Formats: sequence, structure tokens, C-alpha cells
Amino acid sequence: MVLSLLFKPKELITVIRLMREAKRLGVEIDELPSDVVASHVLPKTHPERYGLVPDAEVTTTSPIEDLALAAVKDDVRAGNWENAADLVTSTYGDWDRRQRVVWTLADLAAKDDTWMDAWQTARPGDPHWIVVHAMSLVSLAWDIRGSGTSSQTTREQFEGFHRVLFEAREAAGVAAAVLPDDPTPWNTTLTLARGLQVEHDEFRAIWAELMSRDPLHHNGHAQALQYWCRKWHGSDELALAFAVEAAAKSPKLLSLPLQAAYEAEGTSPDVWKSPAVVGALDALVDRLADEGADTYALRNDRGYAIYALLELQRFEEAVGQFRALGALADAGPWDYFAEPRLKFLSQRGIAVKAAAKGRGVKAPVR
Amino acid sequence: MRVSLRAAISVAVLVGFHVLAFGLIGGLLALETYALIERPFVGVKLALFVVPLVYALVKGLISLERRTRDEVPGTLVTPEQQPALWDLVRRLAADVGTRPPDEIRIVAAVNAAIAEDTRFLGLRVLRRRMFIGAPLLTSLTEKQLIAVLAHELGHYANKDTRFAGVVVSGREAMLRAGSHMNAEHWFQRMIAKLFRGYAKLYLRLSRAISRRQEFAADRVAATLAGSSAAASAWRELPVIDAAWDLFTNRHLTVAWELGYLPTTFFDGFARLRTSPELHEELEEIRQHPHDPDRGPYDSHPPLKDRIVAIEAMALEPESGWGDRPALELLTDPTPLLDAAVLNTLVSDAASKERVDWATLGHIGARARVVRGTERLLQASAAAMNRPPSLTTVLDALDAGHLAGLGTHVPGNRDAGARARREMARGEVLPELSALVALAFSDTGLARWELDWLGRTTFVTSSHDFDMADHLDAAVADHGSTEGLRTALATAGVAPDYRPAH
Repeated sequence: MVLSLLFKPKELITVIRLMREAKRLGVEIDELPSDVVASHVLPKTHPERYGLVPDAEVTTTSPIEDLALAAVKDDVRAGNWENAADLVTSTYGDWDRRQRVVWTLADLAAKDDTWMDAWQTARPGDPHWIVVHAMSLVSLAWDIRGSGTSSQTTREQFEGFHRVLFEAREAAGVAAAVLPDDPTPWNTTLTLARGLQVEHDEFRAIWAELMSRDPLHHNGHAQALQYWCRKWHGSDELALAFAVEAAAKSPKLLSLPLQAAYEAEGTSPDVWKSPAVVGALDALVDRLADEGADTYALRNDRGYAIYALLELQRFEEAVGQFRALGALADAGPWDYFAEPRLKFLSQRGIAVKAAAKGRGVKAPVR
Repeated sequence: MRVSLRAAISVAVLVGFHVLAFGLIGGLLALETYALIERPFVGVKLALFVVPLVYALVKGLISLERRTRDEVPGTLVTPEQQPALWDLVRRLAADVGTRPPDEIRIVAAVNAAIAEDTRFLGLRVLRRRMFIGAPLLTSLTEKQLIAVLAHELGHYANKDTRFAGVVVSGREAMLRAGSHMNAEHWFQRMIAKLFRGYAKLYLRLSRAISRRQEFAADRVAATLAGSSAAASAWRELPVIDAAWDLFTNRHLTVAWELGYLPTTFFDGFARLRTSPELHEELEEIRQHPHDPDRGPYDSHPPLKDRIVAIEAMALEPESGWGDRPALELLTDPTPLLDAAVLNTLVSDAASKERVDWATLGHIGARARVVRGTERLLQASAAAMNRPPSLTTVLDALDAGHLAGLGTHVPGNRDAGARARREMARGEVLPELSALVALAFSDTGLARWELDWLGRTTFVTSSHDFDMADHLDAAVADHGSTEGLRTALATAGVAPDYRPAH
């Protein structure tokens, strides 16, 4: 779990200490509790001296951002579907929120769909039901496949994955037909395109449909970026080009080039220094100066900004972003890691230490 | 290095092998005897070491000398039974300049070979046997068969080097070296290693000779049969090999475990070789011949090089050989060839029931399908606590047991009941589909057909056998088995239908 932290030789001594600790506790080193690991691995700093919250307060739990959504989640778990159905219906027109609501409910429906059945029975032909249903099939397909590598995935899991994704595409098509102005079903089609290995031209056609309904669809841009990544169906260059073009459309998409760089850094190590990435970072930092960290999207933007700032040795600015994030380690890029909180704390420690020693690039006076 | 010199060294190594082994045994025994006489106490202790070592050495030597007591494969044919074949072989042996075999045996393999019972690592020959593959007899022309047999006899022609024949027999004996040793035992393992190391040395030394012998034997073949017949035979061998492989694996033994064999063998093989669905594939092999895998110590040069060399010789055939099918050399070929195949199959082959090819294909395919339905039948029986039958399966589905009928797990550990149900759907649907197909087949409304490529198709005379929608409905959420039940009842399938083995 902590292997990514330990691949450097100078941390070998830490590994030895951890092994000793594991032996003392009578467990394998991989089974050590993460707070024990953290106490050995993390840089020893004094966060409060720099206006940061103490390590112990950092959490990966998101505060409730959408009260109505949180309430209907509870309703659904209790078997009551009406409020959920009404909430989905009421989000029509507020596309970013609709996307969040639909996806959250779809995730629940992928685990257990009895409440969806009740909804369908009570309101047959409800177009909003089909929108949630289509997305829940995407979520179900991924539950069947799991997140293992292809060698860890069984033939039956792959077959189920593809079968259900085809059903999802069909359902999304029906949803798009009954709600022609809604971008949400098109975003579902866009999302499942990765799993069905859709060709570039076909993907561009789906993208055009989504863009004609909501040119700044937030999640749509994140999904499309994944498609254009090297690990899916694109390349480092295609992903970065897509992200830069999107960032030029709106300041709210400024973190996309940083996410593209993050995806590309393994194969293109110099990507962080490219002018397009640095330009997007500067613009994003400028924009964030007037904003807080109240939404997941904002924390995600700040997270990727921090990652970029550290790569560019701009430690002082990174500390500033950590200050703005406070105790919340719930967004990207930390959520990519098995131990998001540890990743957050170790990055924060590095930033604080380097900034305290006056290393790296000083923050510009704004 | 000249061939004769290499051959001489090879023979020296062969002889040396015996000298090494006997020398070790003699030395050890002498040492032991000396010790026992001079210092009995030391001698007893030494015996703990010497006795197992000598035992292992002797056992290793025996493994070299042991003539296979296993039954010699193939069906023996006497000159009285097959005069034409014997005449041909004798004439070829005379032309080649070697003695004719003592036995001719027909085997069920795409191969011709001469093997000898030998003593002293091939230095002395006891009995020479010629093996001729039955598929060769049915597939080659007379001239092509002559090329193949002349090649085998050519290995013993002894024209190019005096020791060459010894080298061939020696290789065979060496490949057996250490094969009877007990790998569990430390001493025997060491001795086996020693023997094998020595064998490798010998095989490497003799390899160049062997390769040259192949080319020399090819020259003999081309001289007697003519370049074009020899080259075409060499091209044909991989084709026959591929066809024979397909034939034995996918057709001949398709219903073996159920106790069935085809009534006749070689008519099926002939139909397979000439079937339109295989034409392209076999022609591809004919144009681009690949060498079969003959193991790590094989001495054959690449087939392509040999064909090129044979064609470059541009030799005309000796006069008097016919261009008729080789099969015409045989008197009453069918029982002989079938007996050769039966002989190769294990001993209980004779007890199998013999059916025509179409029935055999259906039986084989049906058995595979039956196996594919057992899991679902058992799972349904357990879920319903009733005897397994098609109706039990349908009842289990109607009772909402779909998720419980599956065994496959989703990839995400946190996946919910819906994902498990979906996995079960993917597992159950093809099994249910197979079960329904069996029910129709056993009612006489459908059957499986096996084409010569080994592909199975389900054929039905009924126009309304499209059960896809009914099957989907049977496993769907909020689905129903009603449509399927109605269709089955209309077809006359008994409610408690269960496929018999």
C-alpha cells in the first residue's frame, strides 16, 4: 500500500524501521495500520506554524455539498424512491448538478435496484428513470469488471462487462431520444465509450452531440480527457491537446491540462515544463486566488495545482494551496492513491519542508 | 572435418562410453576388494558408498542395453499377405545397397521409419524393422511412397561412410541413456546426469553427420523416385500430417469416451482431405511446408532446404515405377489399414460400438453439450430441493433463484446483489440454451452436425426453433419462462426431461 512512497533508496532505512515495527506488532509489513506507517514515513514538520491544519485533522471524507442529494441517498437506502425521482426531475436544466445527482443514484442502483423497480412500476415511462437506469448499467458493468488488470480479470467478468455496457449504450440511446435536450444520456454514452473501445471518429460524433447540448459540461470534459489518454484510446499528445483546447474555452476547465500532464508524466517526464501546462497552471492559480475550497471541483482544481507546483519546485505557492484546502484530502489527485490521506500528508510535508528552507521558486507578489 | 573422421570419433565416443562405465565399476570393485582384504573395517564403511554407486552404474548401463520389451507397434504384414509391397521394398533395398528389413509393419502415423534392435549402443544389429504409416499409403502416389521408403533405406546405405549406420543406431541408443534411472534417488540422479552429459557430447558430435545423412538419403530418394516425385512427397508430408491430426483428434476419437468408433476409418480420412472447407488451409501448408516438432535432438535439416536441394538435382525417376495411388500396392487394403489404426488406439478399441460418421459426429457433439448442462441442473436441483430436470431449472428461475444458480463472482469486491445476478445471467443463459437444444435433439427435432474442420452446427428441421427470445425472457429480470415452456410442450418435450448420458 505504501510502496509508492518507498521506491527511493534513501527511504530504505524507513523500510527497515517499518519491518522492525511490523515484527514487534506481529503483522506483515503490508498490514501495518496506515497511521503507524505515516508516523515513520511522513516528513516531520510543524504544519500549524505555516497556517496549516495539524496532520491528525486531515480527512478524506467530503463535507456534504448537496444537502438534497445527501437526503435522497438516505431515502433510497431506506427503500424510498420518490424523493430521488423528484430530485432527478428537478435538476433538468442544471446539467452539472444533474450529472452529479444521476451518477450518485446510479451508483446506488448498480448495487441494488429494487427501488428503481418501484420507481419504474409507479411511473412507467418516466424519462428521468431511463437516464438513471442507463448510467446505473455503466456503473454495474464496472462492478462486474472490477479495477484489476486484464490478467486479474476473468473471461466471465470481461464478457459481463461488455454485455452490460452494450445494454447501457442502448438505454442511453433511448434516454437521449425521449429527452433530446438533456446532455446527461450523451455523457453516459461518452463515458462507456472507453470500455467499448469506440473508434476516434465515433467518439468525436458523441462528443459533438454532448457539446451541442452543454459546451462546458464539466464531467463530460473529464470523461473525454480520460478517453484521449494514452492508457485508454489516445496518446499523451492527444490528451494534452484536448485539455488545452478545453481550458481555452472557460476558466472553470483550467485544471484539465494539469490532469492531462499528470496522466502523461510516466511516459513524458518533461510534460510539466511545457509552456501549455505552465500557462494553464498560472491561470488556474490566478483564478483560485478569489475562490475558496467549498466544492469538490474547487478542491480537485487545487489538488492538481499543488501537484504541478511541486513538480515545478514552486513550494511556497504549493503551501498556499494546501492552506486553502485545509483539512480536506478528498479530491484529485490524492483519490488516485490507495491511501489518499497519506499521499496528501506526504506531499504537504515535502512542500512545507522545502518552503521553510527557502528552496525552489518564490511565490510571485500578487 | 571429414565425414569419416567425424564418424570415427563418434564411434570412439560410443566405445568410450562403455569403457568409462565398465572402468568405473571395475575400479570401484577393485578398490572395495582391496580395502576389505587389507582393512576390513574401512572396507565395510567404504561399501556403504561403493555398493549403491555400482548399483546405479549397472542400472544405467542396463538402460542403454535394454531392448524395449514393450510391444512393437503396428500391424505386421508378411510377404504372403502383401506381395507387391514386399517386392517393392526388397527392390528398393537392393537398389540402395542395404539389406531389406526383416519385418514390415503398418502403423497409424504420418511417418515411415526403420528401427533396429541393437546391442552395445548400436554397434551390433539384431533385427531391422520397417514401419510404414497407413495415412501415407492412402495419400501418396506410388512414386511418392517410393521416395519416402528409399529415403529411410538410404540411411543404411553405408555408401558415404562406413560407420554411418552405426551412428544412426547409436543416436537412438544414446537418447535412451539414463531413461530408466530413478530420479528420486541421489546416486542414480548423479549417474543419470553423467550418462546424459556423455550422450549430449555424442549427439553434438554426430549431429553434422546426421544432417549430411539426411541430404544423402534425400539423394537416394530422388535417384530412385525422381526429383519431382521426391519433392512433391516432401511437400505432401506436412499436409497429410495436419489432416491426420485433425482427423484423429476431432473425428476418429470424438465419441471415444462414450464407447463409439466410426464403422470405417479411411473413407472418412479421404473425405476430410478432399473436403472443400479444408482445401485452402491444406493448400497453404503445401505451399509453405513447416517442419514438425521432432524434439531437441532432431537431426533433420529444414524441410524447405531439403526440397530446394532435391529440386536442384533435377533427377529423372528410374523407369518402371508407376504413377498410380500407393494404395494399389496393397491386396485388400481396408481391413489392414483399419487394423493398423485399431492397433494404435488402446487395447479396448475393439470393444467400441461402430457407427456411421454422421451419427458419430452427433454423438460426440451431444456429449460435450450434455457436460455443459450438468452444473445448471445440479444447482437448480439444490436450489429447489427436487430431482434435476429441465422443469426444475425453469421453476428455479421463476422462483427468483437466478443469482443463486451462478458461481462466477464480479471483479469489484464491493459489488452488490445486482452484479452477482448479472454474472449469473451470463453463466446460466448459455447452459439453459444448451439444455433446451438437447431437449429438442432428444425429441428427434434437431441434431448436431460436425463438418470436416471439426466445427459443430445445430441443425433443425423445424422452422420455429428460434428460442432466443424465450431464453432471454427466462433469465431476464421480471422475465418469465412461460414462452419457453409452451414451446417445449408443443415440441413434445417431457416435463421431467433430463439429458441422458
